[in-house]
Amino acid sequence: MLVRLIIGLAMTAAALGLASRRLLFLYRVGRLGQPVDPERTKDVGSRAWAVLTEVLAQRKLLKWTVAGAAHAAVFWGFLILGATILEGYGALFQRDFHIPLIGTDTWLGFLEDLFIVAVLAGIATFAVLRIRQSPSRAGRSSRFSGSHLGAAWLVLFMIFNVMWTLLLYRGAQINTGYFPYRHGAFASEIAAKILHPLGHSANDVLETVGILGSLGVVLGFLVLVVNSKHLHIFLAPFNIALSRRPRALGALLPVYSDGKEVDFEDPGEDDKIGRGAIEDFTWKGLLDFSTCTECGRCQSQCPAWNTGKPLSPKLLIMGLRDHALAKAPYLLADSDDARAALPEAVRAEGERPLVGPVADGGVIDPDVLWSCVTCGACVEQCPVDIEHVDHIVDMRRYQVMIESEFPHEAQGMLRNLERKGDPWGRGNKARLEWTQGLPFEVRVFGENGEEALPGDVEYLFWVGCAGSLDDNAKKTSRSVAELLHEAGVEFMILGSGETCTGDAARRLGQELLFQELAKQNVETLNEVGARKIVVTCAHCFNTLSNEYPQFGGDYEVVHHTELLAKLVAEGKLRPVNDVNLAVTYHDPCYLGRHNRVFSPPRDILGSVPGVRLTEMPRNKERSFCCGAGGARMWMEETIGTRINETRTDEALGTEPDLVTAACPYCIVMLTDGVATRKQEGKAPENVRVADVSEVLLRSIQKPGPKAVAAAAEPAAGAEPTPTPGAEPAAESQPAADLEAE
Amino acid sequence: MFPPMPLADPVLVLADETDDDDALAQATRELLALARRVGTPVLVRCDHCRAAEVLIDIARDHRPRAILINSSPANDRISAQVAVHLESAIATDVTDLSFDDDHLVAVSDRMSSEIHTPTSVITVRPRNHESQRELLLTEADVVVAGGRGVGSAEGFSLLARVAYALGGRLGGTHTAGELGWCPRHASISLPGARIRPRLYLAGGVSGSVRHRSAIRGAGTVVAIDSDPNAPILREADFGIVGDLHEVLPALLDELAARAASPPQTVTPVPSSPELAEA
Repeated sequence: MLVRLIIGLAMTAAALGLASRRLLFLYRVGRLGQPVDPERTKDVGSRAWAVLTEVLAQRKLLKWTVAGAAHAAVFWGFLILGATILEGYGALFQRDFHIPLIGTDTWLGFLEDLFIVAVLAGIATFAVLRIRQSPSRAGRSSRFSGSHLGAAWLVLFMIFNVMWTLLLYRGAQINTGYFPYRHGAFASEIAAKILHPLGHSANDVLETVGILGSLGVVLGFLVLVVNSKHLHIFLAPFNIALSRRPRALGALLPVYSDGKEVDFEDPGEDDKIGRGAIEDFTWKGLLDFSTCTECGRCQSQCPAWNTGKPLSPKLLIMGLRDHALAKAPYLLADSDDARAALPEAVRAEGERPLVGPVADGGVIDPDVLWSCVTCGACVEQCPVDIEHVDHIVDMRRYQVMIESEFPHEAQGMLRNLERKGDPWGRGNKARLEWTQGLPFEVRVFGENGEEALPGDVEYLFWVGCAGSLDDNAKKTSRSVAELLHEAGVEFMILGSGETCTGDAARRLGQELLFQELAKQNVETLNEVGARKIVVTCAHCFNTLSNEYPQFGGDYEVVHHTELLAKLVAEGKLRPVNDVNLAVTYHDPCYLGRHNRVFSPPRDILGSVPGVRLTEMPRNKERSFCCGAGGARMWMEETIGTRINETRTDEALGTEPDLVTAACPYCIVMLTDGVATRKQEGKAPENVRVADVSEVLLRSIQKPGPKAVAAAAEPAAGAEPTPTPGAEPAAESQPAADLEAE
Repeated sequence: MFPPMPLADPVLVLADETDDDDALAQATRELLALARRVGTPVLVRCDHCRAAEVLIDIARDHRPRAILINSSPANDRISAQVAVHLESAIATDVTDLSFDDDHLVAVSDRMSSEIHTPTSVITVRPRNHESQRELLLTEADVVVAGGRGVGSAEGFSLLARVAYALGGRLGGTHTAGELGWCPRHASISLPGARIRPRLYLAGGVSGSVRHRSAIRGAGTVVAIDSDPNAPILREADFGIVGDLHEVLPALLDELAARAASPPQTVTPVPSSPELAEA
């Protein structure tokens, strides 16, 4: 007994020593990071709730049923089986130890054994998943591709060892008579039956060996965990508690330096703009990196990775983590002499640029950094709430604002935004072109000398650059205007008073330009007294509703699909015409994932007679980006296959007549994709791409004089002589247009 | 060196002389990547003094779909010899290759050509010239470009002839680049090449906002499109509603006629009314 106590305590001391040394190192690495933004510690209630649901109830893990259930079994197993560790230590001191009060209850014995079995089933499931989805079999498409496979198998093996040693000593305890539970421990009883024939003295030895073995494995596991990706066991609850709530999507964080927002009008001399080195990340960033479990759920969803690009959110986070740990000794050294005394490899790590070509030792290759579409599929999936998109944009900010290193073709968009206020450089005079040819007058703010929005105007219609200038998006603007007019909703537009909301500039990392545009727009909107805004572009929608509050612009912003769905529900719009169309709907990232508007577009489609909606395999939260987000619209896509074509193929797989979306960027990308596939003979000629509102409009138009006029107009040339800038009559009637093509 | 098994659609790639066992030159890797798009790449490594003989021998035995050789003064002799001996087609200074049904499409700066011979010799412009070429398009005084309305890669060779006749550069829209009718880097679009020629001639270009954005710096814009409602026609100084396959040959004839009668020769900046009425 004494021997077993001494060995047990010695093991414990050794393991705790090793583990705490490592934890201390990790803590010091964490301290290298910048302070976090103050929001992180506010709103304790929702943070506690997050820990409760995401840690204890495994909410995000259970989004994937099989892997989630297996993880839940193992996770709960570890919590419950904490009791067996207590019992094990107790038995070192006192052979017939039991937990006070409940320690001999049948239910506890049963629960412990139930979870021993559940954990074994869980790790068996994990093993099957790892074999079936092994990178050697599935290659790049495996979510484990690039993860540390050996370490993962070692962890599974260690958990297996914990479980069988538990059964061993519990079985032997039953045979020696020192087991605390008389009933309930069914699995231990089976083990006892197997061990029983060995005789009493053998069981005596096995009891001690089992206890020491079990504790030894647990302690070994502890040391392994703090030295591996399995650190998430300890860090995940903290990471989840301190992550952005409700999720790190929607708005981007302002540029923070030293925990304070950078004032771009008068930046401090020591202000860090974005992240130019690993130590520029906040300690929460470093916590993110250390918490990554390499599960690869992000990677499996990432549009960049799935189209052969070098970016995988998982590999990005792993790369940053490995670099942080490798560079830490360099950063922790307190003098130049100490740094010079470091091993060559550590000094080399200290010299690596954070962003730079891999060939030049860069930690994150520019091709990786600029492949991100900020679609948020990674953030959506991450079971430990890592904020990939924020980290990527923070690194972009440094590259753009400090280094001026970014894909040069994006320069055109930036220059146009600066000079003309829209990405194509058409200028604000062109912003009214889309209204021409509408059968009613669109009210433009200021045309009749208004100084504030008139009382009868319910909504300010924010048209956006695409909605004003892009030919497809102009159709959407006209449809929405017509539908609002039809429903009797009074609205007004700003016309030349709008400028770009700055989404693309911000996601590219050009915060300075974004802030200029944002301040200008907020000033305009506040001046006219805007309260309710309706917007057709998912990117404008996100910026107006989530990011302008950062600049003092608080409005009630609705997306046109939300407003139209409401008008249909209230009976103010009655879709009556049978359109007879097979339709699929593409969730724009900035409408769906970032802003949780999933059902209104579907409600609209559902209300239209003759619409047969078929969902794509990846929809709603798991929708696959069109490829235009994160300012990727303004960059060349030269690596791998095209994101838009991949998504187009998925849409075409539903055999639609019409591919719908609710964002002008998506419509451009899908229109391109469908056109390419048609040219290749891989898509039927009749397939079209259109905004959801166009379908609704088509179903609402009365087959009365209006439609006749619409059909007659282009032929009869009812439109006055086309002046430069005037829209052709054919485009003014989307319904006629839908049929024409 | 060459596998004994017959290969499906082999495409021979002449290795660079600097290649060694450990590393292939960037130019060779690019050739292999290009070859992979149209068949099964087969790397041929030999002393370049004997390269023509070696390639001819292999080609006679294995009937490759194409033989890819990097453009360079020294290699051009090899390419010419091989093509003459095999009596095959030759496409020079190619930047992009694709395979369409039963023929190769070779895209170069000036044109896009379909190749119907069983074997062809393709000399490929190494990529490091690319930025230089982009510059040429973006800096050119005269640019001729086509879009989806051109209808085919073949149609682009008509545009290429017009560009040549006007002493200009050939470009295309985003869509034309996507469809492989013009090299991707010659897509006049945002993002893409932004041009500022004195004369811009657009054929079969509808004029999407991204294209119009990229031609903002153009002086005189002449547009030919069959759709009277195409936005490009509102942007153009001279708009022609018609079929470019009729208009452009007429323009070529006119240009040839003028070139033949010297006193009539004018500077190739035809803001002259003839064009608009063509």
